[in-house]
Amino acid sequence: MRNGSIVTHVVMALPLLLLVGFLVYPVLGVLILGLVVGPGSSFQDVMSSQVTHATLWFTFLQAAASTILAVVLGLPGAFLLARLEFKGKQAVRAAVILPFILPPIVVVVGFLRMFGSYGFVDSVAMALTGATESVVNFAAGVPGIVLAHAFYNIPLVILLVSASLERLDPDIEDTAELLGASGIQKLRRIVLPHVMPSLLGATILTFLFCFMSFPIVLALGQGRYMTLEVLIYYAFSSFDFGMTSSIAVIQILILMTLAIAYAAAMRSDKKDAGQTSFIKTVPIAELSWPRLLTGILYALLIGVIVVGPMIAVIDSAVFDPVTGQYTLKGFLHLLEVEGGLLPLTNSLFYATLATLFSVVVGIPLAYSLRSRSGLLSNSTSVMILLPLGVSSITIAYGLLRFIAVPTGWAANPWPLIIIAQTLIGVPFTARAIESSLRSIDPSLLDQADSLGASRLQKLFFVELPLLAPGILVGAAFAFAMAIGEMSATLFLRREQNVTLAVTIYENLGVRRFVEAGAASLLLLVVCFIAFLVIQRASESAFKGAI
Amino acid sequence: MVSVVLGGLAKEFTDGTHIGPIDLTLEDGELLALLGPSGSGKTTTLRMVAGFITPDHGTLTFDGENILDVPPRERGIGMVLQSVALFPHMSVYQNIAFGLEVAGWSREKTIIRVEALSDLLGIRNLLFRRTREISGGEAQRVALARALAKEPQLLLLDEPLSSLDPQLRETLQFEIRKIQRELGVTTLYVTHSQSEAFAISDRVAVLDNGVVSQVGAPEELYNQPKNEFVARFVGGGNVFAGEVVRNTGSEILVHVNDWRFQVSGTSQSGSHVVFSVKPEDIRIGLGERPDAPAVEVVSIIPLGGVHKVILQFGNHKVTSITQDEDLIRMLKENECSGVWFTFESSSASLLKTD
Repeated sequence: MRNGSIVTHVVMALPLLLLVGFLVYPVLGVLILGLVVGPGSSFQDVMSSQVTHATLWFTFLQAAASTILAVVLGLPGAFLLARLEFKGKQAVRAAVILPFILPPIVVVVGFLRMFGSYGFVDSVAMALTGATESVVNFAAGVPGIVLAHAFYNIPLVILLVSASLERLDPDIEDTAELLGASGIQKLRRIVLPHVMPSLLGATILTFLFCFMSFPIVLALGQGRYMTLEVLIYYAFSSFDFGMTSSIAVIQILILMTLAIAYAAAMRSDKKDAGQTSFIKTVPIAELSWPRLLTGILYALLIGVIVVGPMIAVIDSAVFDPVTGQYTLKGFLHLLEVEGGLLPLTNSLFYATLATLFSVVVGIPLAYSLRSRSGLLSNSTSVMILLPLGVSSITIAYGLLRFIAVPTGWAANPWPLIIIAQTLIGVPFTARAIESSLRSIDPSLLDQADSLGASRLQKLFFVELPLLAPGILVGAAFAFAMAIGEMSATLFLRREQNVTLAVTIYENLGVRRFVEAGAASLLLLVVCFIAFLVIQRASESAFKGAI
Repeated sequence: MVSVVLGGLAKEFTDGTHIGPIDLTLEDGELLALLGPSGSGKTTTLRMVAGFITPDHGTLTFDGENILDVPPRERGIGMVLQSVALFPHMSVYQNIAFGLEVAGWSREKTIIRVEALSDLLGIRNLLFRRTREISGGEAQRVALARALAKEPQLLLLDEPLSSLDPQLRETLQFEIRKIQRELGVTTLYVTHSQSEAFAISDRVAVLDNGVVSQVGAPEELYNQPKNEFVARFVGGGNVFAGEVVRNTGSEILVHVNDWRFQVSGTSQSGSHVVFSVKPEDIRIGLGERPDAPAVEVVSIIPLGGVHKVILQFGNHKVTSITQDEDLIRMLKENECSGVWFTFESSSASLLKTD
């Protein structure tokens, strides 16, 4: 970069050009199509339609309810994780990212078994009340949607807020205490203002994720409850392209606003953060009984909401709720060509290629992020932030309209599925590689320079080996995201492009629960392996911190 | 204000480090410096007084009243730390007013108090700045104002000036001293810098390995160090060890490195003694003298007005401080050899040995 040769500029610019071609251009196309007249409903029609209003209203309400639940349940966890000293704290801290990489459709399967009719919770309730019919069903409609969103976002709140809490200087707390602040006053005047930016960031991000949530609402909403994202899908399925584009426009505008607000909140969090310090911690043995009890009850509640569904996936792979018996039918189905082998092959093929591309594109992007050229690093930041503000369905729709149709790929759009999955993975690889790049001591490169290494020798023999753990972390994230991706794939695929995630959804639709369960368990295992890779690699890449 | 008595305060940490027992008395209104190298237990002692660390043994009284069961925030203590620890999301005014606001002072009283303090410390113009917009020295002044706001009976300062540059440090030492005298607040000042302790305090307590080695006025520590540690840490470090070869009753003759030095004091013939001599009491000269050992010059360090000359005497390093410019010039021309040193027998002080 220092000598700024043409080759390096091309290498740096290529990923940006690819992103412009496969992300910006299709999405802009969708926007323009939505505002200018297309086939089907016009923008004015859509804006004044009852369905749009109701869906918009529901999208906001369910996102708000999910966010409130996630924050209310996540905040105590963040404080406990930061303040409490207990055995296995490292493992808990690591496990917090696990829900984040699980495919939403797998979570849906776990939820049905955990909270659905005749599920674990229901069985307990039935035993308690002595009823013979199902008593509670938390896995359907609004409660199901909100709980499943809480499953994803409680860990997010815990992760972001506890990280910020851990940067609270113990000297500041001591000083406040000596100045006479009581526990409550300290919390209100010192601790809460300190975590406010990260709490705000976590809240916006949670709201954003819930706002554009697709598989959970599609599967648990059962057609009665729709978010904008689901409405886009239904509009497209009924060939009303005008409506598809118009809703996409409305959604993009809202999501972009949220994404920008999130970026702003994160910036002010960084500005206020001092150097890393260690917050005052309390060993668990020193807790008073009532507090310990509250903590245990909280851990149980989180266990039921977050750990429960993951365990329930295992049960759902062998238990058939239709016959009420344990069976291996689901696994046998996986061995059939149509039921398992084809989707599995497709899933692995798409996810592997998408991961590869995410890494290849992610490395130069990471370098661009670190670039001293403000234009380059800023435009890269925007590109990486973009997938936050554009939903998978919108990306898929854009790709289909503006890439598949002109190229004639629409009949067998497998390259588009890979492109969509790559776009979803790139922010993860670029971020992970950038963090690992940041931790490379620059004097090491100067050392290599002084020993006479050329730019390329330096890259291959010094930088890339040092970056390897970071690349591995990014790749594992990208792979987990790609193999569990359902939204864009469901939107794009033809008969022969079906993936595991899509078959799970389809099997659920025709009440073949144990078949869905077996495939879910397979995905769960794959994602768990990715999680282990992330943990091991990030220990060496960023000394355990993500 | 208050007089503070630490009676055998001791604390053992889980990693095995042991602090104390510490016996120390702070007289009402005095500034006592707690001086010692890092790891000697200064900060632990201060935090036991503040109440953040509960001692395993010992007593702590303020004006004769046991204070160990009183939580930190009710002890009436103001504290300033090296990290300053200003509340980052508040303005300077809000920082100083914090203690008053949580104590429920009225707005008018708070404003009057904060303004009076900011005048005292010369930070009136900073009141509405954000804490990240002020310099290191200003931040220390704000921290001091904040600590003084509620008129504490005891002020604890933990290396408050260590992160500042030397010039600013001297200015602030002087100001802290002035304000402390004006307010008459009893103060415990932790520092690892001998010069800072001497510049600022009424008395100094030297801490070594978790126990108080010696307490006294700065001059007392300097002129009559009780043991080798204090002599080295405070006195600038000429410590000699040797065997007594003759005892005349008022003076002894000590055998050190094939030389015999006359030292005031008394000790049994044949016993082992340690004594110290201050650098300014070591005289040096060129040439040879039958009554002084020959040594080599290791280095000459100009200290502005005086020079510090370090000599090699057998396996001992001996430090001398001299104002004699001619002598220094000759030493430099003479390529550092053929030098002698000597001291008056009365300037050597015998140290306690363990």
